[in-house]
Amino acid sequence: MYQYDNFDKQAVRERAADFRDQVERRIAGKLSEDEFKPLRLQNGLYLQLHAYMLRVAIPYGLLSAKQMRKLAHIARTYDKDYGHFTTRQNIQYNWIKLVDAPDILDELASVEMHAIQTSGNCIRNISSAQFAGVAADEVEDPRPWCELIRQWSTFHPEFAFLPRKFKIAVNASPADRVGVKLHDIGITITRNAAGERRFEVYAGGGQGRTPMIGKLMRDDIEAHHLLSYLEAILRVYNRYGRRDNKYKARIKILVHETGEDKFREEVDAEWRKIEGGPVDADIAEFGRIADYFTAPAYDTEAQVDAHKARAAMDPAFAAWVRHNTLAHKVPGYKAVTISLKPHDGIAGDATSDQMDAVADLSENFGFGEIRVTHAQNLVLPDVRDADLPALYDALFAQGLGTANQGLLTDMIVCPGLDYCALANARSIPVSQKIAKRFDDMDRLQDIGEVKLKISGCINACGHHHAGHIGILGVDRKGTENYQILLGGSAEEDTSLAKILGRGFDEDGTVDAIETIIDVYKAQRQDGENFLATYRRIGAEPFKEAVYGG
Amino acid sequence: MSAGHILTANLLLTGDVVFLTPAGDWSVRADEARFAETEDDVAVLKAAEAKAVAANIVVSTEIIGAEKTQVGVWPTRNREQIRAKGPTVHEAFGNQARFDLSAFEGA
Repeated sequence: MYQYDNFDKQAVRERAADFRDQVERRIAGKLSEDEFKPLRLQNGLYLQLHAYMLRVAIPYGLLSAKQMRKLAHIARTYDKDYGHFTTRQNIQYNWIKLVDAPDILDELASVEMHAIQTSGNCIRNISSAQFAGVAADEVEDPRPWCELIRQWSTFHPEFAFLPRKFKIAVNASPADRVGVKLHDIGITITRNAAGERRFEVYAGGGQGRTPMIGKLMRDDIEAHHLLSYLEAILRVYNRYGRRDNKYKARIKILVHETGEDKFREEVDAEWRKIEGGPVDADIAEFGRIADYFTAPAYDTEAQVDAHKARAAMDPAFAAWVRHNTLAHKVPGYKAVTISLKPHDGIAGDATSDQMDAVADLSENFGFGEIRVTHAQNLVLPDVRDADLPALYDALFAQGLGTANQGLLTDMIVCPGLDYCALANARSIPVSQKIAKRFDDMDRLQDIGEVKLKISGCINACGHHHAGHIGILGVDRKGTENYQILLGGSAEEDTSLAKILGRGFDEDGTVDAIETIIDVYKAQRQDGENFLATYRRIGAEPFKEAVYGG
Repeated sequence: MSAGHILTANLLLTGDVVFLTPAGDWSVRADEARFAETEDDVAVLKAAEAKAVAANIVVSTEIIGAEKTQVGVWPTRNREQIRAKGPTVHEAFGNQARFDLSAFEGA
């Protein structure tokens, strides 16, 4: 993985020192809250429902064991012994004290981490596929490109005060694991007919209160033009994006109101001015960056399917292998998803001890590398088949062995009204009641792949628009109410879920979800997952079952 | 039961949720909040709010709806009740872990 050079180290240390000075001046009364608030937000420090919340950047979801141990240490020392992994592949601490924040940034800097640009109207953490560099279906490793974009976008002076926040994702597989078309800019690395690397660049996607699917700007961007093309998009957005209304300030509104073709023309015109200029010259840096992402020393004699004997006699282990592991590009290895969705837990939460355990396991059963997924799970990317039984046993002992990746209880869930100052309804209790209702692995496996996503308000941090089943919490005359949506997808077949009908209270929502699943099971044809059945039969059978004829 | 208002905020240094008390200081307990029933009472809250913000004691101040019942003062809205107690999914966190707030269950 990427290692900081002296410039990186100095920049992060100086930023932490700046923030320490800003906090001291705030406490001394030399800065008002109005003056201080944008400074703390630029360092990821929010004021949430119960306390300050610190969001720490995990670039493209990639962590070393050392960094994970530091995150555990911060949780144990400065918070309430746990952290919350987010859909942007970051981690949040919910109970931070302002007086501790400078020390935490110093702790992060010591392991090449920070909280810069995890808030504010700037380019946020670049996200990528959790299986980057190891997936068998990958065109190439997207992480060096993510790192290049991270370096270009960090402290970019032109884009520090955009009309609104800006999110970029990079994918490099036919399978979309990042939600390319649901980002402000989504990038897919491909090969053209001649086998040459090309970048498909989408713009204007997003969720929130006005969900939109990104539009393909160009599919022929060459590597040495990537940064100038991104810069051109950002410049057009920065110039024309609305600043008069924060609810209409995202690039998706600009692309929609300008029109896809006109927006593309504007970008191309801007691009022609800077193409081949100093921004593109940054691509010379790419080779240096790429060297940090060379493949580790895989065991070339790793035995393929060495876990099969255990699987044959242990159905629970076999189910875990089936659902929580992915084919690796190297024979005899698997990429393992560690579920942070125990049925009695909170999606994305991990205790300090669990974080330390995962760090240890990443070293014992891999090369000391961990990924955070946008679905709020963790991944150990390089596990030998022969090590799967021991890894499973160790995870199970830590409460991390739930075999539900991709199943109904592998829900994306925002913090909701239990923690978030913006939320209108609680998300976590609904998810827990659904998990309890479906707390039967045989039943879950029979239901198969269902992406259920829950948000506690229309800002859609729980990605409800992209759920096969989405749940949106609203406040209806002071009472929590939940609308159900069906038919969304954040994958290569991107679609936006549609509201089924009137909402329910918490228990009514759980009943409705069960009814919806029953309809799917009754109607599905061989091999169809929930989304495929929904697309074939439409919403009506579900409406009839949920609301009556 | 009577309806009124209380003043809530977060302490600058720690972020803790607090409520203005009748004595003019800040308590983490909503049931110890100064209860404002009249416009004059609310004006007192507003004056205290301005003073506390200027003194850099608290941030994110807000005058919120509350009710005075037989068991004490308690916020009206669900959101503020969660602030007063702590997250409903973590009983070990927040004031619910420090004080007996069972009298306000379902409030």
